Amino acid sequence: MDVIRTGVSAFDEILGGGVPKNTMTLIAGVPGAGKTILAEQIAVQQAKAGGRVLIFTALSESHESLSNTLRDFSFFDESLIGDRIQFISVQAVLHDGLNATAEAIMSTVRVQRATVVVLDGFRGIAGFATSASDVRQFLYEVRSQLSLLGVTSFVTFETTLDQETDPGANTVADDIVVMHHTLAGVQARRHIEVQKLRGRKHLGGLHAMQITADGIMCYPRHEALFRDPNHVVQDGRAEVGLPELNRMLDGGLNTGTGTLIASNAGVGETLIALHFLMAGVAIGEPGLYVGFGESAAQLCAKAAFFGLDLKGAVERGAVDLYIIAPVEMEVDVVAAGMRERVERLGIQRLVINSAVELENAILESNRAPNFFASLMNYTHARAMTTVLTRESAAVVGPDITLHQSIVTVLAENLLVLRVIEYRNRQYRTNAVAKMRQSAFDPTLHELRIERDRIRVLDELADLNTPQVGR
Amino acid sequence: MAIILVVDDEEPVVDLLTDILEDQGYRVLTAYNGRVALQLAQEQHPDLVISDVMMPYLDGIELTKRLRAGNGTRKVPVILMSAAMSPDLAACGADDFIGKPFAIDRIDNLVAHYLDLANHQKG
Repeated sequence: MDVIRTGVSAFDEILGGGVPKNTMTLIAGVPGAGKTILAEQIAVQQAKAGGRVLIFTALSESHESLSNTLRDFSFFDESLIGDRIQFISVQAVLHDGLNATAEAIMSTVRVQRATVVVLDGFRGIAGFATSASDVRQFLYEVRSQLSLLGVTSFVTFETTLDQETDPGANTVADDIVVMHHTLAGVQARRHIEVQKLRGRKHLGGLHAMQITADGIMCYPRHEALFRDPNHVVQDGRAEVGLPELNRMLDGGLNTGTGTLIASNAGVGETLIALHFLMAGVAIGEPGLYVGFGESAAQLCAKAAFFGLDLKGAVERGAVDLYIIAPVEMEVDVVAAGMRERVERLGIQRLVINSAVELENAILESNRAPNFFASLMNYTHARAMTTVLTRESAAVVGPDITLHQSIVTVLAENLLVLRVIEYRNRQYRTNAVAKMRQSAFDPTLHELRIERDRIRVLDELADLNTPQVGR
Repeated sequence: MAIILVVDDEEPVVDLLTDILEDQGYRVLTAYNGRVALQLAQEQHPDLVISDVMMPYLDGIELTKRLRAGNGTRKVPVILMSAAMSPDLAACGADDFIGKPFAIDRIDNLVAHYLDLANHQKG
């Protein structure tokens, strides 16, 4: 089945390619959900592609004020109005009933040779019906005739599509898109959902959405994109930039695998991750650092302190720093940004510092395991050697809470960094707890952060019975 | 004024074709199945028949065959339409086929062509 491209960022991916031609798509949602913007963005895209678009509205607003809503968006093109896009009010004809309205719409479509039609504000049209069956009959008549003329249509409908308020429009429409606008605590969230799509496989469930100056931006749910494990077993080792740690890892991390660095807060996980990235730079492997706390400047300064020219690597394009403020994050927006960089830059080494911020951004209960599983599916499919950090709230001691993190299970390699107290001194320790398909050194080593370098020392021979924690 | 018989089991399709053809000044007869269409054709002698293929009682192919077999309807041009593949026109005796969806200009051109042809044959 042929489709039309919507021109809405990532929406076509959710739709499995685009909206099927000659179908009627119901765009439903609560007030302010973005229904009109979505329909008009698609309309503008179609007009730019050479189509003739008619936007029928049940509102009594002037055409000028209607097109004014579009002018704020970058996708708008003034020159399209009048020639390629026409705004037509059906407010006056509605008083003559739905049959007359349908006739007026279809007559205009025939005369104008329209290819795309938008019925904006269908709630206003339905309000003139005497029964739910009138609404269905109106939509059935209009949908069938538009489809027969090869016209693709979009109907915006203010509704939640529940049984109480829906007059049956959803049973007539070929495709149904629901735009959700909800609150999670005090955080406003937007999602888009394709509930029904004729003849096409689409990405089901909710997907994050934003309304920006560029119009609607969609972010497919990561686990909807990467459901299946697709681990390509790689030969070779990814050296981590610390010779002693490489030895503990029998030469380095297996290329293309995932590693979790679990730690007490501030033990040195960021430093190890930066060494890992810079070791990749030395052999020409592009790296991506996804971080949430420290700024790019702070990271570069930290790296420079330990003799790593991260700033230079960033300037040369060998490393990309993707820093996101951990404030009301949408995890799929972060994931989309990460994927875009991975694909564009051909990333071979990925650092996510840390998994905790991603977990905090997942507001739905029970979603985190699915998200992280799909994240690992993605990194495996791209054969990226990946390091995720996950710090515990505890500053000192053995209490590194891992049992809730699916990453512990999914990652092939597990490094544990701890701070232990013995007599009057704190020791940073480093241990390889797990490493699939590889030998490794299981003993506890001291991790020492000195003035200008980080070192992994021999095993803690002088601590026979360390007093762990307090 | 030429008379055109439009046959389709979907009311919106019949309505749309009626509007398109009436806009061009033709008189339109309508039927929602092949059985009624055959009766109308025998009684009203339309100048052209546009019929859907898949319909209840009598489908478009069988309707065409019966029109071809009837004395008063043997020469009426028949255009079949369907959203599916084109049927074997020669086997059923139809003159042309139009796929759904269609462009209005295509309908206008086809109708004008077959009415002209019929007029020449009469003349």
